[in-house]
Amino acid sequence: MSDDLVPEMHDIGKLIDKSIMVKGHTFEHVDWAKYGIDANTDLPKNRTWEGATKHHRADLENLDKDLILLGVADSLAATSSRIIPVEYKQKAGFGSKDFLQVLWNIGIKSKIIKDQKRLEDLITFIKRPDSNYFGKYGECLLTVPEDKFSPVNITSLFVHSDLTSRFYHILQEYRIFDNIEEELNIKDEIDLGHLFISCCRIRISQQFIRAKDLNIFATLNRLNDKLQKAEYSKYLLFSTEDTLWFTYPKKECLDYVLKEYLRNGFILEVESTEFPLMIKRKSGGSEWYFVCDLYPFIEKLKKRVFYELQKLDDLKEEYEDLLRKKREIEQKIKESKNDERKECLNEMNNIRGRITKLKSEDVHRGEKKTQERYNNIKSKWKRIEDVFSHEFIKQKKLSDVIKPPICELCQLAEAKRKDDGEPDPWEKDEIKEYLCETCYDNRGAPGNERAEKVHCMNLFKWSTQEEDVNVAWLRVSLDYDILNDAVEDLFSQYVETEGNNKNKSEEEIKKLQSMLLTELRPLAQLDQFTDDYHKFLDELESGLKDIIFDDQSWDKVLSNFYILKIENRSHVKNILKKYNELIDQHFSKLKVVDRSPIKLSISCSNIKFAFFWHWKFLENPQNDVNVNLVGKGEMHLNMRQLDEILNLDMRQFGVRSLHKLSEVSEVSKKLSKVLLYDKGDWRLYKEYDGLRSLLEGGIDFPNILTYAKMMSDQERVVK
Amino acid sequence: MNFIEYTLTSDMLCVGERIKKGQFRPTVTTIPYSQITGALKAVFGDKDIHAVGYFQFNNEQEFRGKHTQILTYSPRDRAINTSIIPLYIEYLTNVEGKVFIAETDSIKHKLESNESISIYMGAFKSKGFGSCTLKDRRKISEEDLDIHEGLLNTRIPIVKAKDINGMDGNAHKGLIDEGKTTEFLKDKFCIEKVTKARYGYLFEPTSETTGCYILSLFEGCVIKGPGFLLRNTDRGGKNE
Repeated sequence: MSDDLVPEMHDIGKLIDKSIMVKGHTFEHVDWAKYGIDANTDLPKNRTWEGATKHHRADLENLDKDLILLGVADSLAATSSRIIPVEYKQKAGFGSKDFLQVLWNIGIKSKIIKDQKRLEDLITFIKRPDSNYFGKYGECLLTVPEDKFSPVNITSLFVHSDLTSRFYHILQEYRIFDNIEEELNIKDEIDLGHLFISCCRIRISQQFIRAKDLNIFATLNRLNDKLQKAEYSKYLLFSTEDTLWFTYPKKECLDYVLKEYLRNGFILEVESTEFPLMIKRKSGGSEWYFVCDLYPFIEKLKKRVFYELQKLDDLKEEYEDLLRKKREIEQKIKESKNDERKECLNEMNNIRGRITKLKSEDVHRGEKKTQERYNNIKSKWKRIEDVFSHEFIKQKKLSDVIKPPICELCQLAEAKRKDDGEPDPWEKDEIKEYLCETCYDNRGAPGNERAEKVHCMNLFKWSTQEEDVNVAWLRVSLDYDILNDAVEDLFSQYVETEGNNKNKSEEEIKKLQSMLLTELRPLAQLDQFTDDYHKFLDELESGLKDIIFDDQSWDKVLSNFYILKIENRSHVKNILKKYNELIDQHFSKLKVVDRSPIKLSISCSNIKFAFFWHWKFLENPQNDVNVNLVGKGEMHLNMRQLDEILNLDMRQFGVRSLHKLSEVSEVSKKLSKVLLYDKGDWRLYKEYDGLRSLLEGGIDFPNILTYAKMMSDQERVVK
Repeated sequence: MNFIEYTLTSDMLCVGERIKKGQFRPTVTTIPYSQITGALKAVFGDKDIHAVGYFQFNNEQEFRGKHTQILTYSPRDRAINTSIIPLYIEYLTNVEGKVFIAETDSIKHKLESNESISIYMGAFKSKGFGSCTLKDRRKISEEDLDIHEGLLNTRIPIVKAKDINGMDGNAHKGLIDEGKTTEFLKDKFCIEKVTKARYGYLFEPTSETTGCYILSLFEGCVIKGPGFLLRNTDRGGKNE
């Protein structure tokens, strides 16, 4: 393979304005003389330039294997975001746009090259073989859509170029490309093999008993860093602290990359999909096209399709049952007397209502209609049955039986007491602990460098202090399943908005929506969202620093997980405010979807309260924003409710009124709800106006009560 | 294999996740094989008893919110006459679940009567926890097993300790990793296949003073087995 072909630069032509490029993005129609460039002498002559100008050529026989590889990698990257053929785009008729529509935020105006000076710069840049493309043009790439046609102008060129580069390097491992030139001469259809895409969710098997057990997060951090720098990092598509997305050419690659995680006792829940790759010759010609459809959530789709069929079958059964009942009641009405007749008529009305409803579902037309609907759903997701997908859990090596004692932390291995006869530095008060080797290592075994370095130094200090220290554990997480749904919803909304702009009829828009939604592929969007999510986390960290003011008052466990020392619980409101502000800034449109893929969980207590309990709360967030005040209550809100609660003017409340509500609720929650509506004390009743409006706005009373308890903690400061 | 289904009710129950010396002792929300089988053996003697169970709920968080309480308990050190550290014990209150007992020859005649059975299960029995009643007996015959694929709703060991002797360290696990089942799972619980395994260990006493931990399937495994062992199927739906 040539060293100087930089695959990520294949679409560099998309950075140049249409006025210069005239048509396409492969520099075919540029009038170089107009810009003072001599096409014979000034243009680059390296492989990257060849890649940028030839990667769309379909006459593969006339290309060398590097350029064929580049073409396949480009197609793979494009099918990661959409599989929309040109005729669909024309049907949609929305035209090309000069902005990138970020589905979860506002659109970004494209920064493209329009003048001669920057064009010359770009040509000179391509000539240099050691070009740092993302360093130099990264900012522009983030604003230019990979496909300018609306409504698919949603994936940035940055993500597309990065994906192309990754696929290119992975495809280099396919032996078939060594003989591809020969194969092209003798075949009309070439099976390239399979590409695997896997989503691995990392779970911690250990329980947390001592502060040292938090070192498991340091281990996770270390492994994630190592993965980014390792030789096999080319298989990593994108990742968060607890989810890794890989693409790789052989099944065994996954075992190899996850080896270290398993050795350290992590449990990995894997959803793996195997995509067949193929290139085919167009009938009767010398042109070739690439066949692949990258949809990473096949298992979920299959379940949805089969559930739909099951649901239709159930409805059909119910319909037949209702018809039988109807006949029986009709007979009964004929034979019955007054009172009984009245009862029968009521029942008959109910049955008729349900039958009408079922008729609207078309189930009454029988098996054929049901099958038709099923086929419609199935056809939406082409080749759903051709793609092999598999869900499995990877754990460290387990044996059928373990002799006691079992490891007290992971409960998955035999406990082995290390250094028999020597005291264990973590054993205090003569309490003997039984741990397996992995848990010892993670905790920081004697002699291990981690033993000297505690992961969260401040936490360790606070836990040994005499005085009472209150802390808030804060964790942000990203759920890719919900993100996939959110992307589909937001894309559907975008199509609707674009359709409205074109004055299309409602029916046309619906048809278009379903057509385009079928062709949307979420992988590139998930990648793009992950990049934004990391930026968001960086800003959240600086925001938290501003709130806390003091380096001694917080610890960073992971980039999405912090411990903050708080004076009183009402400080949580400042954190929520900052979080909401940043969500508005980075993901403003997530507030219109049913559930946000980004979750915030905050759990507050005294430092000495068992972390295990906090972790249970932080690990499985119930709603978009979750706050747990240990011993006081929990609050679970969606993003819209968070807005409402933060917009509540707290100046109208006296601390005493909140405190009273909190105290009453300790005796009886029902009584505290009565107090909220009690007009006996008109001052109090007036002060509770805001809280009542939240209740009427759809926020549950327990959530409001927890909020009141959180805010009532201001009293300490007042004192 | 036929099964006898009972409805289990209990006022206070702590079915433990075993964490020694932990300040917090949580409870699980299913009825593992080891717990219910042990409790039944205490009533009927050390017979060939195999049982599992679960609590009925659609949403675990909701179930926990409704039925879990925390007891703060501080063991007293009599030597120095003080309580040193408080322990938080999570327990279930007013719960109702289902228990399924395999109808083996040795237990068959004991389960013929429709009378309710009183058992003690779980932790802190000496503090008044764990009293359960099994009632509403119903027989599930082999024809009614409704074998299909779904998510396991309980915890079952993959083998019995006595069957392990002389076999490789993970021969039984090997069978499951190949997508098959083990003799124990097939014979006692009619589990035909384990598609996705989530493992843990359950304790099995081998005598009055000894025991060992056996590799077990935990809730969330995907298996092909009787409908009563399975949770409502994941529909792959949006935002569920």
